[in-house]
Amino acid sequence: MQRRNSIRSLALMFAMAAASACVTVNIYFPAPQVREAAEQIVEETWGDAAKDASVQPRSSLSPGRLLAMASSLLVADAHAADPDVNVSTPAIRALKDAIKARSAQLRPYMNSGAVGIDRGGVLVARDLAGLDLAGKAAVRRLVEAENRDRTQLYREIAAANGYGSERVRDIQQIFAETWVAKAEPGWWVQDAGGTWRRR
Amino acid sequence: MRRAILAAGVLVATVLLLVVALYATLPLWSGTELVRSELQRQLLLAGYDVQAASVRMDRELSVTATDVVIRDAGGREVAAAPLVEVFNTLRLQPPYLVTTARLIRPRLSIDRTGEDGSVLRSLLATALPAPLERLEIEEGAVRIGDAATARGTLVLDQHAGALGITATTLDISDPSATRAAEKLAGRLRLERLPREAASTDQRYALELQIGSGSALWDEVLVDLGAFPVSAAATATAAAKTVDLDIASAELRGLLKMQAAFTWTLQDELSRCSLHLSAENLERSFDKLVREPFGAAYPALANLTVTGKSSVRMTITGAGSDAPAISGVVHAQSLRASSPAFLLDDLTARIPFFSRNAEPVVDIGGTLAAADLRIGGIRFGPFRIESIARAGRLDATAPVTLRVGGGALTLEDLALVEREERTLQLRARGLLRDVDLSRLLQDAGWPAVQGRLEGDLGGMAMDPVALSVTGAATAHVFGGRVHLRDMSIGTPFSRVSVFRLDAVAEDLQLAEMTQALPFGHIRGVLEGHVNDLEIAAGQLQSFDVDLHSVPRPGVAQTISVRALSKLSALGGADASLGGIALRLVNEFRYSRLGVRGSLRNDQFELHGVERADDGGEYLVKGSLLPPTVNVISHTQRMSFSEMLSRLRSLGEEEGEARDATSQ
Repeated sequence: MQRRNSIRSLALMFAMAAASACVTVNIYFPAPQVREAAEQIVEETWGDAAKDASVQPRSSLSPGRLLAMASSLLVADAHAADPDVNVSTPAIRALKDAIKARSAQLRPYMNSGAVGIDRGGVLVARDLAGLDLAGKAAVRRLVEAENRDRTQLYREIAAANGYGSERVRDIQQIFAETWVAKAEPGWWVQDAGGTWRRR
Repeated sequence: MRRAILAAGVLVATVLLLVVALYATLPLWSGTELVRSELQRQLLLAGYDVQAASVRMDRELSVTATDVVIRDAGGREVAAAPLVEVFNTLRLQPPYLVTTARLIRPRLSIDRTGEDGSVLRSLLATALPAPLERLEIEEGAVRIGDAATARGTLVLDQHAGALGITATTLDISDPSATRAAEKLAGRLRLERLPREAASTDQRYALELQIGSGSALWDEVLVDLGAFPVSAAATATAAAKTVDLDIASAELRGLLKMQAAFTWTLQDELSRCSLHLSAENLERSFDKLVREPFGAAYPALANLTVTGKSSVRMTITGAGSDAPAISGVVHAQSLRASSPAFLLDDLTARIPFFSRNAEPVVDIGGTLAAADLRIGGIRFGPFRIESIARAGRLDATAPVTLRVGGGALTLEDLALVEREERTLQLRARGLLRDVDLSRLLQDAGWPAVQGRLEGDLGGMAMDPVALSVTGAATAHVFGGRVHLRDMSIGTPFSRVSVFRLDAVAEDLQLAEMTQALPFGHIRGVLEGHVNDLEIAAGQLQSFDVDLHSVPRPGVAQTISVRALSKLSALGGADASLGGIALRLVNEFRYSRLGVRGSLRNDQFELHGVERADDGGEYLVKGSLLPPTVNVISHTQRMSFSEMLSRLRSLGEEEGEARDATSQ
């Protein structure tokens, strides 16, 4: 009887030890910070700042916060909450500059509805009926170049913050919501259900 | 009596009116029926049944047909009403056959495009219904399902079995309007050829001339006024296939084409033989490649290509997801150049086969160029003998490129089509006796004496990356720098990222600092730089640990000039006062180095040892005087700011040199 109690005690101790030895790893994707960074990038490239020709391009982004993204996925919360990394690499700056430079060319087509923003954050030549062929070709070329740069921007943001390619889609989705949210009145955007509507 | 006369008069008048009315309306009724029956007859001849809700004819023999429905022989509806809104200026001639018709603003909607090819074959088989000699279509519009719309003005006329179609303002477009043609003006002649004996196949000859308008295919826009289209072809329509044999097709000044095309009812069986050639590659490349794709692929934007090129290929299953392709590429006197790239005097004859192409005997090819330069670095002339196999192209022997006075040898060089149908260039690379000084000078960088060699191992390049599995070693500054895990991400995109790891061994700081405008330091440096990334010509990230190691017989000293540079660079604090700095030219140190990382423009800097006041020693003085400590109190700084400080230092250096020389 005593022996059985000893075994039971040992088993209980082992179980407690096993439980206390368990390490919990929280996988943290700082979506709010990514959204904040996305808003800043969208504002810089397509927003009022981009429209104002007198505004000089800034040498670094200072979005504040992609930041916590910097911590990799497998980090303690306390580490991830340390927002001290800027989304500013030469690659990201070069891509932002290209997107910003192109925005002035694309804006008339966005205003006319020839180009819209789909739910994936990708520009789409949605209604080219009012354009001559040269205009249609220009739209196709601009849209193709813009989408390539945006896609590479998401990859570079993920890479700069130590994320694998599996997070690129998450970043793209957050950017997609931001492009749509920041769309100007009169622009065509696609809602989550796939319906096009004019803002 | 008078009443009788009046009644007789009314009767006569009524009869006369009736006669007149009958006389007036009889031709109309008979004409309407004639037209209806003639339309029926003509379309039935073509294998279709036509029904119209109303067909009206007026005194001028103008006819309006509305709500017309056309059914094929199986009773399926192939066109929906209203086929013809206005149908006038119809001339009837004995024996009351419709010979000339004019359709104004007709609307045709073909909702069934005829997946089995029946519509196309019937159209080819009938052209114009036999009695109709001329059909004018003014402002016509046709919609073919969801595939395309066309509108414009055409005149169709046939004489002696040849159908001529003259367009003046024809617009064609797919639903997205990204594949379209506008304001086309030209002429198509379609002639029915005599059938060959014992054959039921119908043969045709086609001639096409388009002299104005423009055409868009996605990003490619061609002004057909500047580059007119002309084509001649023969076609054979059989029960299951349509063979199109294009004797010649030309976008004058851009591209010539010869083709034999078999279109079958099941696309995957269709077979197409093409011979494309460009006599003036410069214009072709500009219009068909650089202009359309330069915005998305900046490497193309500054590229000019001259010379002659052609490709002869066979595509089987052209309409399927995975067509089988085989052929031969020819190039002659081809030159491709941009500020960062040169390929000169390329001649080539390269046969190729896709993975799923029919098995063939291995076919040899050659590729040779007088010069190849990438980023200013010259790889010299080269010649490659190749063998084409299904899904790959192999060099028959190692290829040696002369670079920096040494050689880059590529063994097992092959262009391979991968399962997902993308191409990858593979090789095993070997670098021998490359003069670093020449290499760096060619690349526009400061020259450093040394030698580069190594077994680069497996090399692979595709649109996503260029990667190297092996390593190279630079013998520089009396020591070695081993370069590993080298790659270039997205080499053809706007921003390609160059990555590598580097391990330094036995680097003589005296030699290093002699080569750089940084003052003078003596000692031996070792360590590593991992995950080094360069993007858009700038350092993007790295982890660095470089530190001095004591070696017997090697002094460890640092000059005042180097000290001041270090201080200015890192905001560090040179602990000795100004007088001491003026009295002594060099100080002894025991340890020197940096540890740190660059991420997102933030450079985290640590020294070789922590100081009591929380700073970090970048230079720790020796026990024997004269000695110096350099302590950095700034562990994090903006890397771009640091680079701008570096640039200022360089400028100051230049100004100082200028002042001295004056």
